[in-house]
Amino acid sequence: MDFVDAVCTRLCRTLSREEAQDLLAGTQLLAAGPGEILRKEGDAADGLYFLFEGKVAVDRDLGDGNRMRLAELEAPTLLGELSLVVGGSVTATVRALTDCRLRILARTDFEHRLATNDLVAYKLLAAVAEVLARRVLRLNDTLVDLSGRAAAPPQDDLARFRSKLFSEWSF
Amino acid sequence: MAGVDDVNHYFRKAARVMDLSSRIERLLVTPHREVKVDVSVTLDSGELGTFIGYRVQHDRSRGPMKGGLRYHPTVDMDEALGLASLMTWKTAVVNLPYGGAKGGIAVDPANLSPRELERLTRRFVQQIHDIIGPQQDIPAPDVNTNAQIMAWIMDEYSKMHGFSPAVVTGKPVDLFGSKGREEATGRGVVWALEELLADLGAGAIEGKRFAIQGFGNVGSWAARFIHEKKGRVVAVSDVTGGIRNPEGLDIPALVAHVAKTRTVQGFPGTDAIGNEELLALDVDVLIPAALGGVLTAANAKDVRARIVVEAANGPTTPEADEVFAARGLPILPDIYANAGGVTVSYFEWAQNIQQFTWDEERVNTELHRHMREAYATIARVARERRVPLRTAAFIVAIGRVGRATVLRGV
Repeated sequence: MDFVDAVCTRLCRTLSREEAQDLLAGTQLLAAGPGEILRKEGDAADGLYFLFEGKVAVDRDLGDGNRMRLAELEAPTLLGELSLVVGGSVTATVRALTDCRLRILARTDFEHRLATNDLVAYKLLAAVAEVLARRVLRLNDTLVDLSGRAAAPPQDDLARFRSKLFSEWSF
Repeated sequence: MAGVDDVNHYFRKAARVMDLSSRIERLLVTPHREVKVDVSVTLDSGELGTFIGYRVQHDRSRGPMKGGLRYHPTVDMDEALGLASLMTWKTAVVNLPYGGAKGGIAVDPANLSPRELERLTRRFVQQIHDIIGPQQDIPAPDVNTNAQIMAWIMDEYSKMHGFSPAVVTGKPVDLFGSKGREEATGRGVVWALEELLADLGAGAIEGKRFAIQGFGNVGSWAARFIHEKKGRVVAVSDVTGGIRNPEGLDIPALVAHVAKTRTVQGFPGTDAIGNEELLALDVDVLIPAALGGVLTAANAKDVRARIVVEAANGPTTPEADEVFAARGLPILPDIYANAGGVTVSYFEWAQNIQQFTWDEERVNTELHRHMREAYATIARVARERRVPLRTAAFIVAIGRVGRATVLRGV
């Protein structure tokens, strides 16, 4: 897969080919085999990961050796976007499920681009914001469902479909 | 049939973007009713011929169902279901108050005399007259059926239910058909393209180079309108092969040539080219207007056109679709681009019900408005959700069918 294409047609569509090339020029290549840990929960967050090939699992440590699978993600996708925005440590362990190829945009590099008003970094930030917003919307729904206090029972397919069609979408 | 699976593939792609549950997907995809009937007729020889007729009614939440009847040996329930659901999505995309249906008879009409064809058609109507009707299910011409067959259907149905011209569309103009129907699909294709060009800021049709695969009803009318708008049609093909003239073909003369010789071959001032070559020509716009599945994983990378307009049904396989999407090549999807035909069918039906005839100008004005408004909606969804036009069109279709379904209740 052409990494530049994956960036400007799938991951951050507002970037032009040149901008995507410029962005990737400053990244480091990382390859990993099945089972290898790419990011460990609790480690210092070092940047934004672009997964270009392969599949990964995102797990949260629950303590006592237990962990909860938050997601399984397939290329192309971003990883580490949460810590890119809020900083701090890696929030969940990312483990390769298959052979994977990634490129890493270092945090310092990203912050330098922001500080110098580099439009590419801001475009990337906007794409990240969209990913995070959608995730918040889904989490809100899950929260309401889990609280057991939702007005409509969570299994009501038609009510959910209806609310989706009339509030989330316009035709 | 490849086309049928493709419809479901694109439907599922849009359903995933909309995050629909699998149960809702199943609700939308499951047809309302599938009917198989015995169509037995006495042939001219005195022998008894038994044929099987089909009508699949997919969805009627947005209104009476609409869809063609084809007479072809390969007609069966699976093919009819795929095509019926395609009609549901197509009518929803251009916002016609219809659902989708499709059907036909498994027969090779080339083996039938005109009298046998009429008996077969009338027998079929006798068998399905209680499930079709102006407010229920309105057939139309399709592969190997035509205005004469529609006239027989109208006549036979009217014997049983009273005067009902609105039971079928595609009728002869002399028998309650609509003006402008013949060139409607070709006209719609060209107007659809103009909407896309304006949206892309890519200028007008004038001066652009076009390659058109197929010179039947849709291809030849699209070529005529492009020629009128001073576009340069540099290559055209039909079932016998293709011709090319880099300066641009004289389309009116070509139409006359084809009327006489039944082929585009031998048109003066042109070189012969093959179909694969035509698809790979360096042009501004490629218009597949013949068969389905012509753009594949194998030849997608050779396409040099800047835009593809799907005048045929299903010309692009899903693999080719992925290749084009990765390249950022705009494709005007068939369910929008070739909806001009069904739109004017709607006008025919509306005129029949009003018992008032529209002039050609009104038909064309309304058609143009439908194509323009449909594009605006699809393009907005495509932009907002960052999806290709085809996915956006299916999203709009699913949304409109979904809204009607939940409002009516299940």
